[in-house]
Amino acid sequence: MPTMIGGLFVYNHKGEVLISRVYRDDIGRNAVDAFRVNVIHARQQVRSPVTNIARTSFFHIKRSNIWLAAVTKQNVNAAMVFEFLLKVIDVMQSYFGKISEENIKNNFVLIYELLDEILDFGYPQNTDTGVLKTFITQQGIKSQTKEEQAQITSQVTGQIGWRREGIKYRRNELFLDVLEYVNLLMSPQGQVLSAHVAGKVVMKSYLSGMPECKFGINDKIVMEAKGKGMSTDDPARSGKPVVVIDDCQFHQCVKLSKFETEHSISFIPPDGEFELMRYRTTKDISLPFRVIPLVREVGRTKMEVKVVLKSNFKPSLLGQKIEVKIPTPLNTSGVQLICLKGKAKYKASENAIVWKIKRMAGMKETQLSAEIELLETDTKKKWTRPPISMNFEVPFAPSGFKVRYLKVFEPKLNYSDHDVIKWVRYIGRSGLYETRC
Amino acid sequence: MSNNGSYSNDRPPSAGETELATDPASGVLFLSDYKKHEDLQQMLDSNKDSLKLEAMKRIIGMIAKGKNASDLFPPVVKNVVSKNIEVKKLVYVYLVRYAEEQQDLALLSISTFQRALKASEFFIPVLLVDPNQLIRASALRVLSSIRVPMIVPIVMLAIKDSASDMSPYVRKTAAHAIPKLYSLDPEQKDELIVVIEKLLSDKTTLVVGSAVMAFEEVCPERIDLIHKNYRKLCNLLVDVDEWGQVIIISMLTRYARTQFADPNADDDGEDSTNKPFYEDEDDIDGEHDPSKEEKIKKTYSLDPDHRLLLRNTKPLLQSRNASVVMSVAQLYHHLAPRSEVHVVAKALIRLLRSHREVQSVVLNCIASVSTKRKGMFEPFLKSFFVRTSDPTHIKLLKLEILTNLATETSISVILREFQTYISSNDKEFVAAAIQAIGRCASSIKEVTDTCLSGLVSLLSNRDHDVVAESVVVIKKLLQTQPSEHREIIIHMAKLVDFINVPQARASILWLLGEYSDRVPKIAPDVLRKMAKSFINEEDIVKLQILNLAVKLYLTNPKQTNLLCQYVFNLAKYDHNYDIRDRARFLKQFIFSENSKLSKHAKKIFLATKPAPVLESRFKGKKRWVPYHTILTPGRLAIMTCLLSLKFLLILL
Repeated sequence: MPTMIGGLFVYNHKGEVLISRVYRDDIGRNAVDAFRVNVIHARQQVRSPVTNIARTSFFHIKRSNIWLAAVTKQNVNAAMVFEFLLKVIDVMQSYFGKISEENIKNNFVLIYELLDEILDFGYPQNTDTGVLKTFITQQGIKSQTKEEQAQITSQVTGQIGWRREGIKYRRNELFLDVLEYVNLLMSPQGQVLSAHVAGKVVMKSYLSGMPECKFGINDKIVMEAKGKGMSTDDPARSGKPVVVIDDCQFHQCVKLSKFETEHSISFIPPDGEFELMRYRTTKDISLPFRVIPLVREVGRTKMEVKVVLKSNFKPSLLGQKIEVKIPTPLNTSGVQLICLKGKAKYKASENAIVWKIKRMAGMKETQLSAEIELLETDTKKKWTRPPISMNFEVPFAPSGFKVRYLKVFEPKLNYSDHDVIKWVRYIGRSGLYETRC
Repeated sequence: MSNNGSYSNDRPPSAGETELATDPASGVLFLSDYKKHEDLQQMLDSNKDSLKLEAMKRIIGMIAKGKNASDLFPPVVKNVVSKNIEVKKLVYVYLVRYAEEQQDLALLSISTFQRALKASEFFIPVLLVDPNQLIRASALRVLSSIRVPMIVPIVMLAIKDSASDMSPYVRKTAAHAIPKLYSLDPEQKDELIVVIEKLLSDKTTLVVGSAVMAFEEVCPERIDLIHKNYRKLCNLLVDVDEWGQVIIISMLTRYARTQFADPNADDDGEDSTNKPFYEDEDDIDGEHDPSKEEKIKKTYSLDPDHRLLLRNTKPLLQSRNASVVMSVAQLYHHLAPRSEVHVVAKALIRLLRSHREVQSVVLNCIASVSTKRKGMFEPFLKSFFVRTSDPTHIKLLKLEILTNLATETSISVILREFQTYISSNDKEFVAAAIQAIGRCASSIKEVTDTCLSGLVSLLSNRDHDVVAESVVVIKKLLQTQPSEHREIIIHMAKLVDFINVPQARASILWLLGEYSDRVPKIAPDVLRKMAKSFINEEDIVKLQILNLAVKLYLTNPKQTNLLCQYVFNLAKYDHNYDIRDRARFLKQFIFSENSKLSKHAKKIFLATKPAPVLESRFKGKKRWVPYHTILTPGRLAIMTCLLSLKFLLILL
């Protein structure tokens, strides 16, 4: 089962072809039109990201009015095709920003060059933006010295595809961002139906040479292994919190075999910004906010809603950008609002009350009450009460994830771990944070 | 591409002119097409790289807009020897494009060149002489991308040379060129296999992925080429680039499936009917007598090479690339002993946080795996709870999975979820949720009654579609349940007056016909009402009215004889030929006294029908591929509604 893509098309929202690249003879020219007619111009909602038309499969992705479709007649690995399309979007974004019709039209040449580089006869190739940027540039002529050319060559063709040799910085610095998204689905009674944290560690490295890094976190398995090896202290008893990571994945630079055997995360980082790891936890999540809804239907033309918002973290910390969205019925005619903190507004276009609070300290409580007037309608349909959703940002990791250390070794150059300036930052954000009401 | 194809691309100059005005890529407005090309030609012929580059960019821009730039072929191709790497790259883009699109033209141009330069002298020097490996490689890439049969020998030569190049990057490119040449001229196969064999034995991670790709495309049947490289491939795998990993893993899966013994051969799959048995299996294996034998067999098995593959692919579950994870999951699904397969579940669940498209692919996968391996995903049940923000197709897949995972212990949680789903706005999803309740009811005996009463209570729902869907599902459930449900049938009979969804009406009528003995007074009355409204009904309902008429005639001819004749007369003159046919066909059973058929009419129509089996549409897919399935919701429903028809067709 060979896996390859027969062709790649880019359309605007009207279905006009902006880019078309066909790699295989079995993809006819009419395939372009087939997709337009059957998917882009189809009335109903898109049913599946894969559409089969006349034995040809179209894998499509839509990003802000632009359709990207990979076409094949073979039974390909669907995940691979989508992964590739997403990479294409990443690459394009990093070259010219937002994916829009105008940007694509203005960058025809560049896109063709890129496609030529990342897809060879339908097989995905090196899609690392960092590497691509070294030899495909937007500025017209880039006069390259012999040295530069040699460097490019060594990077493109080298074993370590993500880093070139001979990088030098006066100040060796690195930044770590631990970014977590808390997802929650809660029942009206306050029972957690499902909760998980999707986190990632983004690293910005400005390090000279070919440094080898070692990254330590408070993962339960690692800590237990450590605890056995070094002392009799049980990590759980010694008071240090540990995090149970359900599952994680790493940037390609991380040596997976080492992780498997020794549970250590070691790698030679790419230069600049990259996503070191992604992880997921489901246990012992500290939910930063709790929404308690109270909805009372008073007769057919009136409804009373009371929402209590509780912050549940250290009082010294501040939650930010808090927004609670309370859906209202479609036949709402007017809303009276009283809130103790922040600003609340009824937005008819969104059919919701949007309650915004700029800042809120931990262990506080506030509430909003609303009187909703309803138009009398003859529709028998009951209002379905969509869940209350909320957004926020808090300066800690809700999963309890902690960076223990990040050590840098560069044996060939004369700087040591101590000379590297390191910054760590934790951000917890809301993913889908919903309370049914 | 035929002659016509290339000619039709030549636009008359006037057409080109009007388009030029709106063409931002050209930048400047020119008077005529010819002039413009003249201008570009001059730029291409100049000595300055910047001018050449500008010209090339504009030409590529034209191509991207679907305009014809083929007449510039000669001046463009001349620049393939340019020292500037950017110009050269753009020339390559142009070359590949036109050689593919307009073979005649390319052939013509190449042969013109051949006279002047000789093709071999033209490309090969670039390939061999250039000290930069990047240029050597991309030249080979372009050369192999030109799909003109005439240059096959040249490409063959180039591939052979490059396969033993010093640079792994060039060797990689050589591997990529192989499938291209093969698709151009399959007769080169034997010669290419020699090259593939050489490349497969390469020890650099850069090359092996591409070599395996070439192998898969050209000679997947030559499994003997893999034998000696198998261990090396396993060991290198972790360090190969992500796309290469996908290809290698899928090849190794195929290899291992053909070369190693199936670790689960003894207990051939299908644990869903018998789930608790397998769940225990890991801990208390020797409980059942047959499983003792199994255990002995199992412990002896697993070839060290087989183990090597499983061990070396496991770390890749941590890969950032979803397709790598999926490939490993596939490999484990097919090759790992049952007790080890569960390790992939976590990784698959993680992929659900990925982009929506990937999520859909993964859910499809889980849906089909979960029909076979329930226990694997049970701990993650909550991950499949539906969010209001999910698009419909994701919701449906999640529902499917939840239904597949339902067991005696988890059913209460799942049913509570389903209940909340029914109040959703999304009609299609609501219908599917009701279907899902029906499936749970029929697969888990403990909850059948609760489900049934729940569904009956839905019959008084305000939403017509909910009622209709419930009717269809209840009908199926009643059929699987031999016990008497008289009240429900009476309730449904009353609904005929209110429901106007044809599917549901048809279901009710079928039920009444089938169980008319339980409601002997009501059924004829319903037939009377139906006879009145016959002409206004949908086809599917009309067919069921005929069915009902026949069945009632057979059980209760005294009361229904006239009604029946009336209905058949109406059907005789119906618009739809299906209904006319059916009427004529059924008439033979009841109204003609002496025919052979009518003697057996009772046996045929009143026989107990096999109950429909409510099961996952993902069940029974023999090959598990990470691939979508064609969605045909409601297919099952239609089929069961027409069961009586099918029944007859089978008989005759």
